[in-house]
Order: sequence, then C-alpha cells, then structure tokens
Amino acid sequence: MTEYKPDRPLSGAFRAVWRWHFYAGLLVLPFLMLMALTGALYLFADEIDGAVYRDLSRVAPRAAAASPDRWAASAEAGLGGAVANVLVPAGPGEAVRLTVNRPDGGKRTAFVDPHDAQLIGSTPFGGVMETVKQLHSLILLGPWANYVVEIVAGWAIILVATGLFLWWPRGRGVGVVAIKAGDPGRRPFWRDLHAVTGLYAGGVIAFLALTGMPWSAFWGDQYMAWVKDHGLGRPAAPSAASPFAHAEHRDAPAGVGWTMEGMVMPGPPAGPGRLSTVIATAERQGLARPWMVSIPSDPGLAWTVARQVRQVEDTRALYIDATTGAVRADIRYGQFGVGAKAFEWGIAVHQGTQYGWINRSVMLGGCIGIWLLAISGVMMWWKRRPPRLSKGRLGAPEAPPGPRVRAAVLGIVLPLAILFPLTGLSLIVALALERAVSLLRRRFAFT
Amino acid sequence: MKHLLVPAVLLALAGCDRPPAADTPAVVSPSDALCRPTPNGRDITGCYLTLTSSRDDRLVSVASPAAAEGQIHEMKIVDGVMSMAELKDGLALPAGEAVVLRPGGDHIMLLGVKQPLKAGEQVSLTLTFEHAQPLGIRAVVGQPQRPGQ
Repeated sequence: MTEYKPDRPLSGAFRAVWRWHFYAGLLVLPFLMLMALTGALYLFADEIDGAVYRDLSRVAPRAAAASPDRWAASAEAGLGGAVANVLVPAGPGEAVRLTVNRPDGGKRTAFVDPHDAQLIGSTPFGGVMETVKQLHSLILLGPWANYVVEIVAGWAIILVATGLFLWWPRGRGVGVVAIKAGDPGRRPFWRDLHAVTGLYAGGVIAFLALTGMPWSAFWGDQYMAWVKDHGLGRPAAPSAASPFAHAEHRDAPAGVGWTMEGMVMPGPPAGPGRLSTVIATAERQGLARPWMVSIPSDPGLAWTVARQVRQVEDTRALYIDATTGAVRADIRYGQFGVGAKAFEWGIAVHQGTQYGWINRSVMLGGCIGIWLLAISGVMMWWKRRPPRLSKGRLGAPEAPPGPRVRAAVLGIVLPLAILFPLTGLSLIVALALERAVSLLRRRFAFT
Repeated sequence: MKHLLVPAVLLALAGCDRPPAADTPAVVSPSDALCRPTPNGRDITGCYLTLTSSRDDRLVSVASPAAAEGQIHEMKIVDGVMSMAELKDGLALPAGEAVVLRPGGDHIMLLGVKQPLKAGEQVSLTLTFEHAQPLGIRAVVGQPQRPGQ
C-alpha cells in the first residue's frame, strides 16, 4: 500500500471539501452506477427493443391495409380487455403496438400486423425497455424511490461542484487535463484518472442530473407548476374548443410529452368514437409518423394523437373528436412557453435524441464517465484505506479543525441544497447522523 | 396369477367405451360460451368457452352464420412473450379435461362479422370435431369479466 503524500500540506478548505466529496460519493455511488448503466441502455432503446422483439415487431411490407378498428378488435379478442393506446409505426414493415388494459388490471403490449389485422403476439407492457426505464427511475423499487432519484441527482451536482474544487490544480504536480501518473498499482494514477475523467464528464453529468429532475416526484412537479402559473408553459386551448382539463389517471394520453402530460379535452359526446375516424383525421392533417393514438375510456373526451419525436421542434399533438373526426385542438412546439420549451429540450438532449448521433455519443460518454469515476474513486480510497478497516474506521478524510473552513463547503453545498430541497433535506439528515455518530463515539471513548 | 387375469379380462370387456371403439361416439360438452361485442366498425371478434370431451378428440373448425370465417387461435408464452398462431389442425381436447378458451389463451376468432354484435344478443356457433358430432351452440354477446372466464 502506498501512502498518499501531497506535495504540500492540504489546506483546511481542501480537506473539508474532500470530506464532503467522499461522503457524497459513498452515498450516491450505487444509485449513480445503476442509473448510468440503465441510462446507457436506454440511449439504445429502439435498437435493443428491435433486436429482442424482432419476431413480433417485423411484418412483411405490402400495400393491403386493414382498418384500424380491426387492429384494436384483434388485440382485444386475443388478450381480453380494452385498447388504451395505439402506436402507429413509421414504416410499412413494422407492427402496430397497442397497449391493452386487461380486466385483471394488468397491461400488455400487443403487436398487430397493420396489413391484415392479425395479432402477432404480446409482451408485458412496454417489454424489456420498460423494465430498464423503471430501473432508471428506480420506480421498480417502489413509488418512494422516485424521491431518491431527486436526492441522487442533487448529490450528483454537489459531487461535480466539489469535484471541480478538488480538481483545481493549485500548482500541484498532478494530472490536470491528462493523466500524469502511469502506474495503476499506485494511488496517483487513480487520482489522475478520477480528476481528468471528472473534468471531461463533469459537465455532462451535471447536465444529466439537472435535466433528469423533471422526472422526479418533487422538484419536477414544483417546476412545472411554477412554469404553468407564470404562463410560460402549455398553450391555452383554442377559443372554440373547451379548455383543457386534468385527466383521471386512466385517461391520461400517452406519448404527448411533458408539457401536455395528463391534459385532456372534454366535450359533448356526439356518439361512439372510432379509431379509424381518428387515424384518418391524423393522416389528413399530414401528421408525420410514428404517432401515438390515445383512446380515453371516458367517451366525453377528445382522443389524442401525438407525434413521437426525436427533436422537440417536431412536437405536435392533435385533439380529435372521435365521432366526427373534427380537430378540436392542434398543439405545436411553437405554441409552448419559454419554460416548457426549455423543459422539453432538456429532456430530448438527456435522452440523446435531439442532435442525432453526436448527442447520443456525448450522453453515452457521461454514462461511461460515471463508471470510470466510481471505479477510480473506490480505488483511490482503497489505496489509502486505513490498515485496519475492521476497527470501525472508514478511512474518510479527516474533518478539518475549526469552523471557518466550513465556509468553503457551505459555499458550494448550500446553494444547491436550497435549489434542490429534497437534496437539502437529505443533507440535514446526513449532518444530524454525523453529529449523532461523533457524540456516540465520544461517549464510548469516555466510558 | 390366475385370479389376476380375471379382472383383466373383465376390464377389457368393460372397456367398450374406450378407444378405438369408434362406434360409441365422443360427447363434447360446451359451457360458458361468450363472444365479445363488435362496436364501431369492428368486424372481428373473439369467442371464449370451455369444452370437455368424453374421449380424446380435437376441435377442428368453428363456423358461424354471423361471420364470414371462424378460426381457432393458440397463444404460446415463452419468457413472457406471447405469440399467437392459427391452429390449422385444430385444438386437442384430452379425454375428461376441461379445455378453457379464454382471452390471453387459446380462443376462437370470428372474422368478417356481418352485423355489429351487441351485448346481450346471442351468436350461433357450429363446432366441428374430429370424432364427436358437430355441435351447434349459442354464445352470449358480452365482455369477458376476467381473463379466466
């Protein structure tokens, strides 16, 4: 084991920030690694889904077209229950995907050949990528875990900020923009790897953490509420149409993006709706495929057809009267307020779709960066761990003496803790725990 | 040894109702026949029922005066992925076993339904078997409440 010998004594501020960086890393490392892995997989969602469900999703392209009403009937006859939404694919060689709500409360994704309305098969709702998505948002662990995402994202930003402080060269003979120490057997190599990776990936990680916030349970809701209250969000419904209303959970349209999420347009039901009527209207409106048709179970609501976009500028959603086929509202990206635009743009870049393969590569780089940082971070600790870990010693950086150096930490951590209240809350819990532990230690030392 | 043979002979004699005695016809009893309503321009529907045959038999085809064509569909599940296939050779009905046709499982498809089927109405179905006499039944039109039904 090699001793870590700094070129000159570490300042109190450095030690204080280092200590925070250490504990923050310890706390969120497992979550960040899971989110980086699942996020990297999700960047390739289409490719993975296409490979896994090749047999279900490919159909022979041909001119014949079966009525969309028959797609739905075929899926419902085979699986039971009712179709809630229909993903109309981009090309004639792909199957239509229908979400079927089954009478037992379960959901399945049905694949139907649009040319002859044959049910090809079905998977659990959303298939394998839905599982990856639920792991990424931690919802698979339970609804409470969605709050953890927000705390982790806040801590990731704190890690980037404190990491930047620690990276700052200060005239030390360490790697700054490239690794200087070449021996992986010794700690300086891992420090350099960590610092240099952090330099390049830090910005992407902070961006991913920030743009991931909209998914979070607390901050995301608060932000959207603020944006909407200040008229910076979703457009008002056309004056001729009835205003938008919040949907019952079951009737919330799918695939409309975040700004229009949960918005439905009530209106007098003129009669039973037909999928073929709605799809004919969407075709007539020149809506580019693929798009998602949402079928509300409440007959008094307009049906929604939302274009599935990779670039936010293409966002468009039609609210269609399913009896007459009349367009009740036609919402486009240009009508969104500045807040909603920023929100949607952040999400598209986060998902690596906004700027093509470059976008995807940069986000993938961020994911790989997180793993490199995690591995090198653990190695840095391992190389300077205390000789006897079993004695209850973690090998955390020592707390610096005096309260003045805390200013350095608080200067970085406090603003972020206020900006992200859940993270701030977890900070208070962490501080209280540390207090309790040190009090206990002292008591044990005296008795 | 000798007295063991006697019951064996008796069994053989008593086994008149066992295959291959084709002269005693198989009896298939249907129950809980249900077809989904076909609103809104849908001319396809699914029908579900339970069939119990007295001997090994096979449901070969389904027809209805209400539809242009009837098909028997099979659902196979491998690793959570369900794939659907038409059973051109029909559906096996093992002796004495209640074979349940239901949503999410094997089921009957009616294609080219001529008139919209409304809940509460009845649909005539003709089931043809490999051994048993063809069976004419009337299915109720309605929504299956649970996948098991």
